[in-house]
Parts: sequence; C-alpha cells; structure tokens
Amino acid sequence: MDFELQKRCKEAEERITIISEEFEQDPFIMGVSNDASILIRAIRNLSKEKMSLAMEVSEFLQSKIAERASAEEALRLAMMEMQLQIQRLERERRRNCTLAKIPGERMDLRRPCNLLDQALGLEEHGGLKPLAGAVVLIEDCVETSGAFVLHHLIKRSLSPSSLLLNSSALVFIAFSQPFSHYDRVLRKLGCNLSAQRENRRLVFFDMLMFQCPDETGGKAVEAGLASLFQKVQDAVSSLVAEEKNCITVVMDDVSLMEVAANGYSDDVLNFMHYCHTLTSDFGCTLIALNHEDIYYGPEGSMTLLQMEYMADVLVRTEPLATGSAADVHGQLTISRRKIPERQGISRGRMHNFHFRVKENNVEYFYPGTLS
Amino acid sequence: MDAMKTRPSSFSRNVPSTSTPQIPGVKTGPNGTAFVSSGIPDLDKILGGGFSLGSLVIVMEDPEAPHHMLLLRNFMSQGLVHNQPLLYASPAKDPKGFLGTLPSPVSSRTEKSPGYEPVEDKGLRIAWQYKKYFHGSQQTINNQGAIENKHEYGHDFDLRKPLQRQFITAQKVECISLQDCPDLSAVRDLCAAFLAQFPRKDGSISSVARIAIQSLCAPECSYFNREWHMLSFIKILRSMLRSTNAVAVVTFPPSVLSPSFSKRWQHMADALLSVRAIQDEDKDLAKLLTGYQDMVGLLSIHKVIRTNTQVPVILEATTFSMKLQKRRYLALECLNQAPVDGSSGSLYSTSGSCSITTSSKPGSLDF
Repeated sequence: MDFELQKRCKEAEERITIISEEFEQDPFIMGVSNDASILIRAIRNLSKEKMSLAMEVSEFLQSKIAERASAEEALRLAMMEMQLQIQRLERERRRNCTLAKIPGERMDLRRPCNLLDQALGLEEHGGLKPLAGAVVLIEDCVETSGAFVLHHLIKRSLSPSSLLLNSSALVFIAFSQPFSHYDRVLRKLGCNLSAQRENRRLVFFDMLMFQCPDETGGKAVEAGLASLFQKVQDAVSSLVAEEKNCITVVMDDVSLMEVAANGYSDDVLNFMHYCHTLTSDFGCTLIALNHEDIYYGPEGSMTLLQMEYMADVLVRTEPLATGSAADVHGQLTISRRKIPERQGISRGRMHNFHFRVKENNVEYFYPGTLS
Repeated sequence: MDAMKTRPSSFSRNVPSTSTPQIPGVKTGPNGTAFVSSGIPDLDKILGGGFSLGSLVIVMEDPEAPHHMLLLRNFMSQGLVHNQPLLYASPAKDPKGFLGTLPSPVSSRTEKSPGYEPVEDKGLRIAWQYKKYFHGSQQTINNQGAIENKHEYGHDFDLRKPLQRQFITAQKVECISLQDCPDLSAVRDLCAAFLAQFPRKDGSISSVARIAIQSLCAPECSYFNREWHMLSFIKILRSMLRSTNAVAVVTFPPSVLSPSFSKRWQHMADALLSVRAIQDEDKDLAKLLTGYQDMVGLLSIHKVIRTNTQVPVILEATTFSMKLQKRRYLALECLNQAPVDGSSGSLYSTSGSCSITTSSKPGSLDF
C-alpha cells in the first residue's frame, strides 16, 4: 500500500511539473496563438485534465476509505481473538481453583477405574445413576473390616459425574462411628462431608446413643424403629423436593441396630424392608454394612439370609486364608444378581480379587498380580 | 504404627506439640488421636503408642487362668499414678479389695538394667563400637526418669510391691460390684455420670479417665442370661466413650457366651486382645519355644484401634508371650522358636504344629 501511494505521489509531482511546463510553453497563454480552434482544443484538454484529476482524487479517497474499513475489520478480529483468549484463561484458572479446593473433583476428571468400580458396575450406563434402585449389602468379619467399601461408595455417590453434581445426595444412618470419624476418613479420600452437610447434600443421623427401651418389650422397639424410618423418609422426600433425584441411603452397621432393638431382629428386617421401598419409590440406592460371622449358628442365620435375598449386590470382605499380610489386607467377593440381559434372562456375576487399604485410596488387584 | 509411617498421607494433619498442653500420661498420636499408656510398655510399643482416648478395649479371658487381671492391674495402676480418675466394676463381692493388689511403679529403669547388662556385654561383641551410644542413650533415659518422673508416659510396674495408699486415696476411685446390680442400667447410669465429667473439647485435653470392667458377663451376675441387655450396655458404653476423653477396658470370658454373641462382642471392640494360660507340663510346647519356663501366658492381639482412619494396622506378630522378668515386671516378647536338631523337613512340621497350638483356643481368632 505504501509503495503504491509513493508511486502515485511521484506521478502527481511529475504531472505538476509537466503542467507547469506546458503552462509556460502554451501558445495560448503566451498570447502567441489567436486561432479559435487551438483555443477550444486547449480548453477541452484542460477540462479533460480536470476530470481525470477529480476521478483520481475520488479514487484515492475511496481507496483510503476501503483501507480504513479493512483496518477496522482486522482490529475487530484481533479484539475478538483476545476476548476468547481471556475467557479461556479465566476458565482454566477457575478450574484450577476448584481442583485445588475439592480434590475429589480431580479424581472424577481422570476417573480411576478400579476393579471394585468395574465389579459394582459403576462404569456402566456411562456412569449415570449406576446403582439407582439397587440394594448393596457389605458383609465383613472381625478380622477384616469392610468399612472401606462403604467409604468408597459414599465418596462415589457424593461426587458422581459432573452432570449429576447437584442432583446427588446422601442420607447416612450411623450406628457405629460418630460424624468426626467419617469426616476425617473421607477427607483423606477427597470428599468433604462437613461441606456437603452444609450444602444440604448430606443428612447425617447420629444413632450412636439410639437404644430402644428394654422393659416394655417389642412394642417400644417397633415404635422406635418406625420413628427412625419416618425421619429417614422425611429426609429423603425433602431432598427429592429439592430436585435431588440421585439419593443414596447408607446404614453403617445393621448388627448394631439389632442391639439397639434389643435383639428383635424381625423389627430390624422390617425396617430394612421399609427402606427397600424407598429404592422403588424414589430410585434411591440402599447401602448397608453388616457382619457376616455373627450369624453363624442356628438362631441368627435367617436374618442374614433375608438380607442377602434383598440385596442386588453383595460385597464380602474376608481375610486371606493364609493370614493377614502387610501388602494384601484381604479379599473381596462381589456378586451381582438380577442383571437383566438382552434375552430377558438374568444372570449373576461373581468377581473376586485382593485389596490393600491405604489412607487416600484402596488398591485392588487380582490374586498374584501385585507388582 | 509402622504402616502409618511408611505410607504418610498428604492429608494427615500435623499436630504441633504446643497445641495441646501436655498433661502427664497423654501422648498425641496420628489422625488427631491421643494415647494413654496401657501400663505395659511393651504393649504400648506393639499397639503403636497405647490405647487411644475414646476407645473401647476388650480382652477375652482365659476361662482357667486370671491372666486378664495382670492387664487390668497394670492398666488401673498406670491411671492412678497419672492422677486419672478410675471407675472399676467387678463381679466380686468387694471390688475395693482389688485395689490393694495393684502393682507399684518402679521409680526408674535402673533397677531393671542390671539384668540386661551382662547379656549385652557378651552379645555386643560384633557391634562393640555402638556400645558407647547405647549407654549414652540409656543414661539420658535414666536422667529424665529421675528428674521428671511425673511426666513419664508409661511406667514399669513391680507386681510384688503394692501401690502406695496415697495414689489410691488421693483421687476419685469408684468401685462397683456387678453382683449387687440387678441389671446393667444402674452401671450404665454410673458410667454416664462418670464420663460426663470428661467431655471432649476440640484441641485441648484437660483430664483423662479410665474405666476398667472385669468379667462383665460373669455367670454369677443376675443379668447373665440377658445377652442382648449386656450387648446394649457395651454399645452404649462405646458410644459414650466416643465423645469423652476416657478409655475403657472390658474383659469377658468368651467361653460362657454362644459363639454368635461372642462375635458380636468382638465386633464392638476397638482393640481386641485375648490372653491364654500356658500349662506347666506341656512338654511339646516347651520343646518348641525358647524361654518357655519363664512364660506365664500368651497374649494375642486381634484388632488394633483405628480411629479416624480406614487403614488396618498389620502387626508383624499377633501372639506374644507374657513373661515375668525377675518375677516382678510384666514383659511381652515375640515367640521364638527353639532350635531343632534334624533336617529342614522336621523344622517345617514343627513350625506347622506350633501355629496350630497357638491358635487352638476355642473362640479365639486365627490370623
């Protein structure tokens, strides 16, 4: 553009000199000529010259305008690009902040797909409501506690995929440990229970001191458990009213509930059945922990069998037959039932693997594949 | 404890030692817990520091021998030495009389060291150059023991010397006879009133209490056949402990309960121990284990306290021999297999039988 302008500028200067020379040599101006035809030709030449000059000026102005418009366009594009850049940076910064704040979210972004999740089917259906309407029963024994499975499921249900981030909630009925214990344990796993409780995504029932009166017999137990269920149901329905439609109900020790019910196991089973209705009514997930080894013997096995019958997923933790070791803490057996196949035939699936519990995660591996 | 050290989590809180005023006999542990000594320094070491506050320790008794009393005596004495209030319940007619049998603390460890030193002189020939460091460290221990004996965490107890009266009368010791109680609700109310004096506040520990309950389900008690009643008592006790700065040790004879209820008791425990006597004339065992003559019993650890964490503590050994050193001090040692003449094949078979004999107790857990 500059080059062309300079060329034109030079042309214009040349023309000025030519015109001035012509002016000097012009016979008409010099008064030499007196021929009218020459005069007319000169006038015509002049007006032609004037016209071309005007055309040139208008052309120049137009080019100038076009130039300005194109510059404006370029500027607009540059501004737009800058805006996009700023937005992207801002987004990145915000994500970094949230990552730093909630380590659990980071876990979700690069979701570690471990054997337990696979076995429980948490990755099926694209990770959306994988256990909705299901009953998960965790059974452990004195030697190997199954609490870590419970912790894992709590963490997973409170921080599911980002689509369901605000629609998931947890109702926790704790008989075994106080809130402070779970808060600390889950904080190490990357899930802040205190914050979730403030956000109304966790309803925690501290049932440690819950004890049905002994003297009046079965009536009091029935009434006590009925009022407990009423509380749970109210909590669930109020959560549903808040558009939280992915609710998990967790019971941390069914055997302690039996103790609280003074051994009226039938009432505890009734309570479990009532909780089971929540799964069909609201699409809740019901997770319960129980101890397997206390039901060996003729008197108690009915309770365990009934609860196992109710369960869709059964997770069993056992010590290794060879005893406990520092790098293998025990083995997990997961059986899933009632998986409808395409042909309409349900088929059970069984998974078995070893695990090693750590503070912030649990390692799962097939027997003999520990690296 | 070792497991905690090797796998430190980035989320574990670093508790500065200045944040909690150090009161005698309390030590801060991992995961925001605080330990008190069990009264047996070896047991403290094995458990990774002692019994953590707010936990329930259950000891399974041997039906034939009173070895659980050794644990209880040391536990109670340790608390009294540290001026910690004590609640003691026992099925005996006169539980106060038991306080007279409590052992007395040894002022410093110098009395114990002569027993070790000749052995060290012989055994340390290879690493002789380390001996000066060893002596140096022992000297500092002795100095500390002499200067601030009161601030010592865990004492050694001389089982032959009774505890001075000043410790017993100086502070609150409550005794309950379980035989007099028609049911456990009275005991529960007493425990609740006792524990209400020691609520847990964030950060600071002002005072610590201990509860010792001996043979809770003894058949002579009138509530013996109400198994659910006893379980609900333990459940309530456990729940109450969670919010207080107290430790409870409960012993029970598992053989009088049905296996199912015994398991329920075991599930309630935060720390689960069992004691077992050794027959005098068990020649097979005598051949298998070194130092068999000195042993008075075996102690097994089935569960270690795991408050505020999900990681189980895996001990290197779960069965230890209880020995009385110089007939005075209770010490725990790993079981050492005696050298056996013959081929490795016979060695294998003896080790197999050894593991069977250590776990053949009815109702105990096989690890």
